[in-house]
Amino acid sequence: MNKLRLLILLLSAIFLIQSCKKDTVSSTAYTTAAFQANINGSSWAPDTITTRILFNPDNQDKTFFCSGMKDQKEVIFSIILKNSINTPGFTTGTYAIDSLNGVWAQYRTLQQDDQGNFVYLKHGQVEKGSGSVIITEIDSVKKQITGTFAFYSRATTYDNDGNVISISVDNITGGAFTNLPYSFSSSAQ
Amino acid sequence: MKKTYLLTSLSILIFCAGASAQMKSYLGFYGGMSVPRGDFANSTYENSKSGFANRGMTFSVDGGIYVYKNLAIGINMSFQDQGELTASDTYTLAQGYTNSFKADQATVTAVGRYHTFDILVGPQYSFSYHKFILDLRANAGFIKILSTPSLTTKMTGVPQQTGEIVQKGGGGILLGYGGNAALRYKFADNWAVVLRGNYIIDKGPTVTTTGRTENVGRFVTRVPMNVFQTTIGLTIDL
Repeated sequence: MNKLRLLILLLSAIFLIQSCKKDTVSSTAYTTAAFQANINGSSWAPDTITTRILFNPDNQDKTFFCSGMKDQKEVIFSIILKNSINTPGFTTGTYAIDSLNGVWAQYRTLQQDDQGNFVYLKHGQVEKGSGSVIITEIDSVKKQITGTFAFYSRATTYDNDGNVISISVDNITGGAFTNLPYSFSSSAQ
Repeated sequence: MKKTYLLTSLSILIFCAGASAQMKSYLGFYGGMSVPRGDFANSTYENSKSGFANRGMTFSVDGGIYVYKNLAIGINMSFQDQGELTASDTYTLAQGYTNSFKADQATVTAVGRYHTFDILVGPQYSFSYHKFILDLRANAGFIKILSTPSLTTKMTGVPQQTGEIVQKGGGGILLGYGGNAALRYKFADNWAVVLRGNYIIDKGPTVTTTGRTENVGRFVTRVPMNVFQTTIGLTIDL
């Protein structure tokens, strides 16, 4: 009977060990949307997207414009390519945000304007050197464009004497647009 | 095919040849592997019956009370652990929720394991040949759901679904059925070692979901349980 007791004891021990083991397992998956970014640490994929390339025959320049909007947030960036020709393509490469020379970006949020209407307004300034847009691939036949972007927008609040009260920074990181369809048009502005 | 029939018939005849005497009732202790099958083992987001169950241990106390020669009433009490969701499972679910809700991101947290306790009873017929005994049994009974994993899903970027979705399996007692085949080898007068295959199926626990405000994506109402167990054990004649 000793063998029997030992066997029962062993089975009971294994049973108890199995019963007590209770782990917490957690995983996070991020959007695989064609246009996405990380805004202040949270993944964000806009549901309203506008992408276009516009050729201006008067100035002989081409503008790549891209905007995405969702959850009262909007991200916009634009690149002006000078000395261009009237084709749906665009030069790949890294475009540093310079604000003045045609590469700019904005982070907007839904705010109430002076008339009481809710409109998308700039949330801070995206200044020169605060980020870049990289166009890695473009298919001018299918009209699809691929690239990445990242920048930060800084909002500074001043008091009546011009002293800085606060500075808030919105970080738009890990931005990506993958095979994003775009429209092409040619018209004078 | 003829050869197969001939061999099967011959085997049954050999076993039955030594099956005339009243057999001794026995009690056994078993341990082994319980392997989920079908929807219970399935680990896809799209299948709303998928249980994400894993291989686990099973322990049982099993006995046969012979009522007439080789015919016995078999009783089996067993505990099964079918594991918990893995990181890969929770990621599969998180990915599914992200896509179907068009969320920016989704986090799925799983807590708890599949634990069940069964009491199954059924008729058993035993064939004996020298020191070997082959037991065939069909059984049915009650399955107590001791615990099931609970899942909490949190998403961002879905205005219609800002709260957590909590999915919990119910407890309770269910009806279950199955069958098993065991081969005993008597190594001593009253003792035998056993190799057993056991199949158990039940309709599984009901699953309740709370906090789901957007009617899209995976919605689980029940997870059918279906396991095949391979165990070894020791039996003692009573």
